Amino acid sequence: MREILRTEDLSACFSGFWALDHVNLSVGEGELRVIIGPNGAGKTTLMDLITGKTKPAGGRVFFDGHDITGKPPHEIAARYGIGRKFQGPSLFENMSAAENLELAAPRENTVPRTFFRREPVRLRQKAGEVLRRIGLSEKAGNMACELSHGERQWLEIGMLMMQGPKMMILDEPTAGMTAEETRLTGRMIQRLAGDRTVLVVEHDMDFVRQVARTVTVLHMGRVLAQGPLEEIEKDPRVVRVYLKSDGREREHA
Amino acid sequence: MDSFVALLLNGLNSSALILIAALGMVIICGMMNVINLAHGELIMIGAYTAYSVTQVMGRSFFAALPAAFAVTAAAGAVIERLVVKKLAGRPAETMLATFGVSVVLQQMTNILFGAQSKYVAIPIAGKLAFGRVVVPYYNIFTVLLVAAVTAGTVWMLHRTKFGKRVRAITQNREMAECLGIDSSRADTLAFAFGSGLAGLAGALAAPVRSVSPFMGGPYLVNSFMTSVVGGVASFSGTAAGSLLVGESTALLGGVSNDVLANILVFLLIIAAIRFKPEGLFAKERR
Amino acid sequence: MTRLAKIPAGRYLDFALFLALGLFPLTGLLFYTQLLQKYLVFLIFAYSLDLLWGYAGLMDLGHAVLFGMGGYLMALSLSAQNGVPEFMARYGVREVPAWLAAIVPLPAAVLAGILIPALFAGLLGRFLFSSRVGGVFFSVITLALAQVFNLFIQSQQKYTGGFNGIGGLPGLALFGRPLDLVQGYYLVFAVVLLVYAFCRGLTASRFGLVLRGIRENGARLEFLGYDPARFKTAVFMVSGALAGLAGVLYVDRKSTRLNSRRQGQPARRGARRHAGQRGRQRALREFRRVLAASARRRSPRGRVLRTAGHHGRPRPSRTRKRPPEGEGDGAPCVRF
Repeated sequence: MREILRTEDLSACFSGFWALDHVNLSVGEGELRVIIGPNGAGKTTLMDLITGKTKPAGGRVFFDGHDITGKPPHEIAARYGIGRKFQGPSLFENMSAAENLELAAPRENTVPRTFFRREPVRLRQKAGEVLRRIGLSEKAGNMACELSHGERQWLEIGMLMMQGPKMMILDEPTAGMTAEETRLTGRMIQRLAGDRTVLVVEHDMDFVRQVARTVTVLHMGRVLAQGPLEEIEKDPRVVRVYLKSDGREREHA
Repeated sequence: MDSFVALLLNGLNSSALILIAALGMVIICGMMNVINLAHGELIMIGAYTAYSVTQVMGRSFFAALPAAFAVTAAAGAVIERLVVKKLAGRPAETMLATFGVSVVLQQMTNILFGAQSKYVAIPIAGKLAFGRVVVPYYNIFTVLLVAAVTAGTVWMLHRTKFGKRVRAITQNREMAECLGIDSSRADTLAFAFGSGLAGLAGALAAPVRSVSPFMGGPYLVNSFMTSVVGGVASFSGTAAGSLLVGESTALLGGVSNDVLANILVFLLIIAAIRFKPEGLFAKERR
Repeated sequence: MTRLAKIPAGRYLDFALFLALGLFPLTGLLFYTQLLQKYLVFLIFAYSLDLLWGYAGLMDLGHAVLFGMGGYLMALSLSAQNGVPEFMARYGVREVPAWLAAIVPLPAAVLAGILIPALFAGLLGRFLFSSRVGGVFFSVITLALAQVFNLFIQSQQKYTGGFNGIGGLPGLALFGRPLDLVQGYYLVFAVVLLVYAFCRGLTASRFGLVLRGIRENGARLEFLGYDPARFKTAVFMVSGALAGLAGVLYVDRKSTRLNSRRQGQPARRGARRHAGQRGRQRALREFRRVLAASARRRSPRGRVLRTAGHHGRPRPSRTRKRPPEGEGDGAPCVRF
């Protein structure tokens, strides 16, 4: 499998606090990698660095053969093809679901291409299709703020479908969802992943079990362990640090 | 060299006035996330109160100071109740509304007092001279008073129960309400206090600056600039910011004329904000 | 889709208003016609501000500066038609300066009045938007710039007439023929219609969609591949051009104090304007103007004044959602 993302000694520092400390990560093309770790481990910060939201204090990020360290987010998204779904989710609240999707179209995103130009028909059609896939066809005209929490998460996933990037980063896509919604989301993501590379940051171990193959565990800004899910679940270091309360019965020592 | 020192010392006076004006704005903004565009007019109200008390009613200037604080605080409370509270959670509309209030206040003052500049006598005449450096007594008084009031404000915020409540609301309004703090009343009181400080600034400025219905504009901008440049750190940031603004205006004013100095300082601060929006003294956040 | 059902009601209102405005001079009320002409100019200014603020969410507290630039350029040109203007001569200016001579021909003045504010806005935009200068900072900086501009104009008394401004200007003329009151009105009215059509087209296009996206969640847009700075600068320039245009049209037979900061205030106050001496009439006209400017769109101000049924069903009032944590613009407020 060809490597598509690599970070070398990636570090981030906020006023003396090292949120990330020499993180080395390698993700293959088409892989579905899940990143877990306790709160404050630096998972979101790692995503911030990869997508250009924050500048690293040290180290480099390579994507698809290019050095994207420190580049601005819009360039990373448009030119290199990395899409991101936020912990949140992060939507355009007072715009309709359909409009949210239409905004996520690739290529129609510079001033000359949009000035006085109407919406291309194929874009509307694609938006309609995505709405069906995420189950929001009837709510196409609803404002994003009117949707339920689960629907909002799906809408943002839909935006990623529209964007069609080479690599997707999903930050806690099932946060706040019911068990049923989580299962649906898992299926959505698996279909989405298909031939794309997907990085998922998650807490919900049931969901992780549903989708994961390889898991990376972060702790205090460093990679603690990495490997197939079965190994990680048994790894004593991981168990001590993170899996103490994963919903399964554990005997207290 | 002497004139440099003189400029520096008198710049301290400008800084003091800016500090007390900015302090009021910072409290209001920090607590309620409200950008009060009528802040300049609150300063103006303080100045006119000083004028009324000293020139019209013939009383001492030292009675005018608490009067200015009280009157402006009352005005602030009214504004908060009538306008700001109704638009809670909508910063853009609040800004627009306070802008409207500022225009209303300007015109009301214009109608009541006329557009001519008013004269307020300097309460402490005379100057202190050491060597060839001359510092008016009134300037020293201003600086000392502002220092005292600032210290008192910091003390109030950190040592009294009311201050603790205000700080709690600033950090996390919902949690504070869950703990039984009446955030609505605290809002009004804080707004009144911040307005009172602005009024005090106006009263202190009245003898040495022009008093007209439209005097508020530059003060508003200065207060904004100072709070932004000082950053989200603390009062020390605001103090440092006001020092920066006041001294640079004074020093540049000594080199060229006043108007050019003002323009230059504004432009410099705009550049500072653009390059360091979190303020010159801020710490990095996650 | 549902969007088609939303347009007609608001459009009918616009059409009715424009019809009324177009027919008004025929009533023969010349004084009010002249007054209404002034408000039509403010309507153009309101459109320009709404593009920037209502659509892109950038509250420019110094927008009057761009208006003033257009106004001053036009006024200077008009006053220099016969050589050195009187107010300059009083300060000892003997010859018409080169920059003034360049804008003496009216077409040049109009062009300058539109392009120079646009250029200024473009440069300012490039300077400001490329850092993460968000909403509040932008407002504060533009406020400061308004002060700077005010101070600057007053200090250059020789060339600008300082505090008193430029007075005694002739009326508008088209192709050398001076226009009477009614003709002047229709000229401005025609421009209003053109600006309306322009703004409609722009906001209905994808550009308008992106602008609204910037308003709602500018940070998110970056991760979708848009460079918000470029879009903000673009809309700022367009808005600046329109504001300058309004300033140019404002100068008509006026012997006003062209003091830039004050001029912007009436237009900015919108529906909150207090009734003047002509009381109700003025307030009514102002209200009509703002209604025309805001009724048709989902802008924040428009929501306040929107008539029911704009979207085919009455909308429950709802506070606008705040941007998600960590992606807002970071107000400069103290946490102590």
